[in-house]
Amino acid sequence: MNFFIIDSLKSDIENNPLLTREEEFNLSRQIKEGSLTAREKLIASNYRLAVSIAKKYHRDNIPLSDLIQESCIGLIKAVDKFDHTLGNKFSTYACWWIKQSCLQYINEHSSTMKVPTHSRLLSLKVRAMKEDFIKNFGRQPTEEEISEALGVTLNAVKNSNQTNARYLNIDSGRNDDDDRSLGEKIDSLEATPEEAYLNKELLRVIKKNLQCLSTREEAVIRLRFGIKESIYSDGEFPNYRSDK
Amino acid sequence: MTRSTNKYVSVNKEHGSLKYREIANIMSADGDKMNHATVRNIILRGFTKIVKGVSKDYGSVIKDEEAFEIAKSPEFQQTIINIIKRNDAHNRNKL
Repeated sequence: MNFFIIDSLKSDIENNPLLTREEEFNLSRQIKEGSLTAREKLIASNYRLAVSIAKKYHRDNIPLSDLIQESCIGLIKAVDKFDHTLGNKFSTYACWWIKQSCLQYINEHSSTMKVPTHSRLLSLKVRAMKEDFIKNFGRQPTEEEISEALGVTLNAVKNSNQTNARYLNIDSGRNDDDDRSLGEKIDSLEATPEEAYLNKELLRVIKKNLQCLSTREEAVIRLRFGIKESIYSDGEFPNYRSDK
Repeated sequence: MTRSTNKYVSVNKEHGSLKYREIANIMSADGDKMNHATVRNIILRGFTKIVKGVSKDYGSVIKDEEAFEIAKSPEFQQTIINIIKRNDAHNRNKL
């Protein structure tokens, strides 16, 4: 798939050499006048730029073909919005649209959950700030320090840390040296015999102390939390009714 | 079950839970006249009793304020409610 897209673009790239500033200006002017041929020509002449930027953003978890398609969408947006009268070179303008398209695609497809771009950007800032802080002070910054340094609310920092946590596939982690998956290497979440005994003992103590509640207290607590029956194994819910 | 800072636990109505005023009305209709604040106090007193009883059984002395703080926490209340519900289910199965 990758090769197919790159090959199909390759012929376009070869057939449409880089444009001079004057050519760009003329094509852009014609586009404004409604020429579709000029639009196609400007797009095709800049595929090279789109592919080059897409390659920079290529990571293992994102297919290059998808990224190239996204950067081409960015290129088309740039062609439609380019204003030749401002005197800028087209590539200077287009690269921002292409980058935006690539980053948007990566943001939406790199993790299972979609995280808003602003949150992901904040997370990058937090990460950079943490690295600087550790270099300078030799310790991890607190959330309050991060919020103060970046000028954002404490809640925003907390949310960013939570939502941008990295997730690992529990079936991954196998390699040549170790045939076990990550899930097989994690400690069992079940309680050890000792913990199970202590939990059982605590449960017994709590149950015993539940008997200390007066009938009135029990009735009110049960009504409050929507529990209908009595906590006493032998008794009905005395005197009080949960229905009005 | 949630709680905002320094406030009391609020409950989720979908689970059949009632508001303090609703409970006060039910209890008053059943002959035990009380208002919403009394209901809240009775609930907290009940949970505080459990905290104190448990800490006593484990041989530690706990101050009233500490016991009250623990009793007020949604985590503690949720745990106790879960235990009560489990106990109910267990008793139902025995019958």
